Amino acid sequence: MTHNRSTVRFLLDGKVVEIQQWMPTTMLLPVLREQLGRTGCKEGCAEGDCGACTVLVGREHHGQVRYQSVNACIRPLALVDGCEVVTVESLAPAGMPLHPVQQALIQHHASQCGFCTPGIAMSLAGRYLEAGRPDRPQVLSCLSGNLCRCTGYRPIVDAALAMDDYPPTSHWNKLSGCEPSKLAAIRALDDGTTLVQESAGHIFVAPRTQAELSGWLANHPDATLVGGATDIGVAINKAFFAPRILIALLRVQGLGEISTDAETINIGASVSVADAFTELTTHYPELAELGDRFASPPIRHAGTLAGNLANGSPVGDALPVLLALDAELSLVSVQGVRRIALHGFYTGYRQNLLRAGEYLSAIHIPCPRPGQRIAAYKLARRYDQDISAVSIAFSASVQDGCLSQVRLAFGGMAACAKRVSELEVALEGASLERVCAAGIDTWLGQALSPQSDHRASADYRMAAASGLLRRALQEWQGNDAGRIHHLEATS
Amino acid sequence: MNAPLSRTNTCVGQAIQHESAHLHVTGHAHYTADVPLPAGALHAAIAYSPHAHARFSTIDCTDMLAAPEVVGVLTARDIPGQNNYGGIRPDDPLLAETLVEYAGQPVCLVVADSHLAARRAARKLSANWQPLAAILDIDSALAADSFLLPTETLVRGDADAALAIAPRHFSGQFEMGGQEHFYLEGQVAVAIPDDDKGVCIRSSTQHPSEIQHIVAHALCLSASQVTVQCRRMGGAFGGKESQAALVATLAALAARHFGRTVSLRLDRDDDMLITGKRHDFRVRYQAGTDAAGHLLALDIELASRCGYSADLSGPVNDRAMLHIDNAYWLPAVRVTSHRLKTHTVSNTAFRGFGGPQGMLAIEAVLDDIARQLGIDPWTVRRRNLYQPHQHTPYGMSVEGAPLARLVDTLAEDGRYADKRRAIDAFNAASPYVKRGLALTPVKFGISFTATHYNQAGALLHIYTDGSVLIHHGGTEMGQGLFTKIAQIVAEELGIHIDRVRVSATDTAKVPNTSATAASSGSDLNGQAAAAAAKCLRSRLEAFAATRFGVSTDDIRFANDDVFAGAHVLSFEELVKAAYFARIQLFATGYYATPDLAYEKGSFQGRPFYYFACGAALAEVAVDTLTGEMRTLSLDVLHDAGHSLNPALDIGQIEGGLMQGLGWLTMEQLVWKNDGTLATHAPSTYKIPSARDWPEASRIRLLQHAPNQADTIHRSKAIGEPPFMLGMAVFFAVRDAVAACASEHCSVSLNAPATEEAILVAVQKARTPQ
Ligand SMILES: Cc1cc2nc3c(=O)[nH]c(=O)nc-3n(C[C@H](O)[C@H](O)[C@H](O)COP(=O)(O)OP(=O)(O)OC[C@H]3O[C@@H](n4cnc5c(N)ncnc54)[C@H](O)[C@@H]3O)c2cc1C
Ligand code: FES
Ligand code: FES
Repeated sequence: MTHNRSTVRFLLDGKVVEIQQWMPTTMLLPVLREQLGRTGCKEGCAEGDCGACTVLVGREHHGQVRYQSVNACIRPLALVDGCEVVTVESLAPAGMPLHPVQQALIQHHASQCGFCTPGIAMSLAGRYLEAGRPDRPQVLSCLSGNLCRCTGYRPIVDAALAMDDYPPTSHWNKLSGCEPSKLAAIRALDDGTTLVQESAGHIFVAPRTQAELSGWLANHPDATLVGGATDIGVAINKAFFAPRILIALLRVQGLGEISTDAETINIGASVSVADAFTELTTHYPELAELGDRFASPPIRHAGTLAGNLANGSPVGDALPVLLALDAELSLVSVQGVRRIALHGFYTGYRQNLLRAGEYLSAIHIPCPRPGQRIAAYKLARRYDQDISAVSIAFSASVQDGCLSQVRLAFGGMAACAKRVSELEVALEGASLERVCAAGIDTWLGQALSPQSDHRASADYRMAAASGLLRRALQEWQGNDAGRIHHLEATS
Repeated sequence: MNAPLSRTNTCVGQAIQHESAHLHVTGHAHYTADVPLPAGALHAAIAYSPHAHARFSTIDCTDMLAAPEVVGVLTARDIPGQNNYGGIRPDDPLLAETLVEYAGQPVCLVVADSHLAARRAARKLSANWQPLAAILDIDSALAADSFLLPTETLVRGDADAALAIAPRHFSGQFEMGGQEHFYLEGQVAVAIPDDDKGVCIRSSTQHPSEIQHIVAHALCLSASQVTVQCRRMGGAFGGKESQAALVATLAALAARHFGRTVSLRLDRDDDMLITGKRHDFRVRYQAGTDAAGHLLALDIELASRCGYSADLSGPVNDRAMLHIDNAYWLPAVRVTSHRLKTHTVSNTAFRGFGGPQGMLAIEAVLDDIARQLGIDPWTVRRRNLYQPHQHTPYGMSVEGAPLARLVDTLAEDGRYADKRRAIDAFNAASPYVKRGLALTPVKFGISFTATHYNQAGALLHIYTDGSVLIHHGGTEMGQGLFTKIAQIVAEELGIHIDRVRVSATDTAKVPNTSATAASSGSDLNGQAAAAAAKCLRSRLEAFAATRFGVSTDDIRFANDDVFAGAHVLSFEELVKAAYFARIQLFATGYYATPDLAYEKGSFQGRPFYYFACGAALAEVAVDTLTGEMRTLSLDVLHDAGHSLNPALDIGQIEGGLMQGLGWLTMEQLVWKNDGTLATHAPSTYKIPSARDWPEASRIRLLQHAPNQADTIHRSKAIGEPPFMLGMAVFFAVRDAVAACASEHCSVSLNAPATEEAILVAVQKARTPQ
């Protein structure tokens, strides 16, 4: 039996901050701004989309402290318990020289109104702390969750490319994560207790073990689980979602692991989207683009792959891919573990086979087969940080120009992400050369029933889905149709 | 005294960093919501209409009042004075009385102990709504004769007659969407009760004086009892010109009512639902040309969706009409402008203020003409470009606009012809991906068309330690106005810029200010600040001349020193000596733009002091399988006159261009059938992000181009004109779509060119007509 405590404890500039009065739905941003005077942290949207609130959160990772950007606006306060928090004010404490990131931003004229600037500084600082200097694509990815309405970004990108040219300061340099004192301070926060808060009839708990988690779930089968809160946080801020019992997975031992053997990649429930895609991409390099386009770094650092699947939005980006890769899920409750295929998991709009009192503990993805090809594309208004209107994942073994073991899944084309089994069957054994576009359209038309909304009309979704499939087929045929994102300007 | 045409400045003209840059990057720049509130401060939230059009007679406040932490709910009945925040026409109720005319219209103000509690309670609004039929878009407004303001026309020559004899005829229709400002800092105000019923308001506003008056009217106060302050805004773009008054006045109302400090900060979604946006327009035209595409006649109709109230729609639409020529000679033209009333949010000022809509219209017409004639659109544009001796349709000479120099240099340096050939070859060989290219000019009139706004004041203090504080009427929204003002003052006094501090804008310091808008911030306030500095300098000169027995001609202020004949002393020493000699060390400055001759609504005369110009060359790529597009390169040459600060001006150009690109390619406002806005958050309303700016960009200022008009240091206004450079991207997309067509025909692509719109246009282009 572990002991409980209700005080949230985190590190800020080397000091332990203790917050006693908080609600399960209290976010980090208002605490920083209103209680701790960290008004450099701005609110631009309160839904994770603008980056004005970006801070770094440091946690132990492989024996070091890893600092990652997150959006303070949708980061529940309770999820930074046991962590270090770094705000823009931390970068250059009073009397210290400005941080290289700050100097670069100033010298490149990278702020106009300045409201986005603290968040941008923090996104860049997160990158700066990592090894190596970022190239342009890395800078663009790093900034993909930061909106600036004033500058047009050019000077910000230039500053980012130049930040490593400035002399490092003693605060927040590339070695900060390895400083033993930092790790020790973070470890010292953890006395093994479980954070539990009861406030006005609402309960928050962050169990430490799977047994504890199952126990809580058995007693409260209607509880709401929270992974990284990137979906739930938006509901809390915008729809005033106030679950009676909120159970956090982040501190449950054993759920944060990735383990890969000869056949399977196993991803634990609290593994972040970022880490999950890093792992997936080592096995399936074709997924790099999707991994980069899934939300933005701060959302990927916070959100979990399991959360994406459990949330089950028809436009969730991991769903089509994992469907096409024949992923399986481990579902756990006090009754035990069951392992089921992701195909068939969704039963309707945001409906799935999870039972009350059950949680998704791990995702299992087969390793690539020889000769397997995959294509995964997302279509959205904006390349970065945008929800897909349509997405496709296509997997097959290609031998002598013929397709087998065909898997074809779409997002945004029905009430839930789904495989188009009829077309899979039709394509099985087909020669790549002879797949006919008109035939595809007929199959898709029969199998899919997209809706019209503010992102796209049903007609467009249909046409684009067909376009995406044709793009994949073209690429596999070796006639690279050409991607606009790979083109250079005419010189 | 006219400013010299050649420059010898030391501070003005330098690429000095933004005066707040060090505060921005450290998080120590205070915005309105960052200043700590006194104990007992309250928070307010707006409860708004769920209906686009409805009557009601009673509001049931029970649930709102019963919600935790709520201290009160204010309705229209609690407003002691005028229930209005409309600056021009009093038709914008602060809180609806019995009628709501858009979904999002404020109905009551919930006041609570915390921001969150107020927001949560505001959702519990209940009233006996009787929904009425709503007119939501341009077509239904036209069909219902729903005019908000009288239709206006601008005529030169006989367009009908010219059309009748023109060798080639064209007609078409074109639509362009609105745009959300998406200033990163939402609308916010904090009202603090002051002595004797007075109130002091810290507001994120471009127009402190207007708020001062609106608050005074609403609370039955005199203007002297209301103070409005603004140190900086986190972006504004026109969205805080008239719209900030709603938030500021409601905060003041609650502060008065409860006798406590009240903060009203709009949540992003509420901000997008409640406050106005750029006007969307529908254009119909008939044009006549010769075989070479020279425009001989144009009859063009603009219809805009103004929303439920007048706000700034009159002048916005006027400016659209006045910019129908963009950079082109229109010998015979009739512009008709319909200003439509709809049951949607009241559209308002947004960078360009209608100018972009007028300019986009003529560019679309020229694009259609070029496509149908089978001539490269750039050739057609160039053929129609103004010559210096010509006049605009409203009779103003374009002599000072360096249009030909700009576009020809850009076409040359940007290698338009080579790129055109390379792109044609690429497209011929590429079935799915198409490239497109376009070069478009910008000519934008500088001055408020409401002539009385073209004035400004400043108040300069020199303290005995030699530090300098300048107050002026302009507001800082990121554009760098305060930096430019500091440069101008430092230049005038021969001191280092670090000595100059620019104070927060404050109606108690400089009265009767104009909105910081119409790109006029540095033109007007810079002149006023310079006048104040000149006045103090001559006072100090006179003092030094007497003290050292030299002529004032022998006195020079430079590098923080003062040279009086053979004597040298520091600026600080001189100031101290002057103080002891009882010389007044503060002065005011005032400026009114000369040479304007324009009657509102006449569409004849000289509404503008001068034109600011630029040109952009854009290359894009379009994926015809999906309709996705990407900007590959941007080349810009822009005329900032003698730039006051090239770094800030380049910043305005890039930021403006990017915002224009966003307007025309990705930003889409979608309303549901019931008139509620579906895209009210950054999750659904997408503005450009870092990747949308192409690596291949060359943004340059036109060199050696002093303003012909006698502006501050011969500079040119820079706030709005670059926005329209984004048009090049849109027409490059059309160019790429045109590459899919097998015959000469117009590209039916409206703005914004979303992936869906592009795919539909591609399909149309591929279908033989
Ligand atoms: C700005 C922004 C951008 C985004 N962009 C994208 C995008 O590009 N693509 C995309 O697909 N998504 C995107 N999302 C959505 C979101 O980030 C993802 O769905 C993410 O993977 C959710 O994970 P989470 O851990 O944060 O989920 P949470 O918010 O913690 O939980 C989501 C749901 O899943 C349930 N849940 C979580 N974990 C478990 C579990 N182990 N077992 C059972 N139930 C569980 C929760 O109860 C909740 O109902 C975006 C969100 C934001 C705010
Ligand atoms: S406030 Fe916009 S992402 Fe947090
Ligand atoms: S500088 Fe204003 S939003 Fe970035």
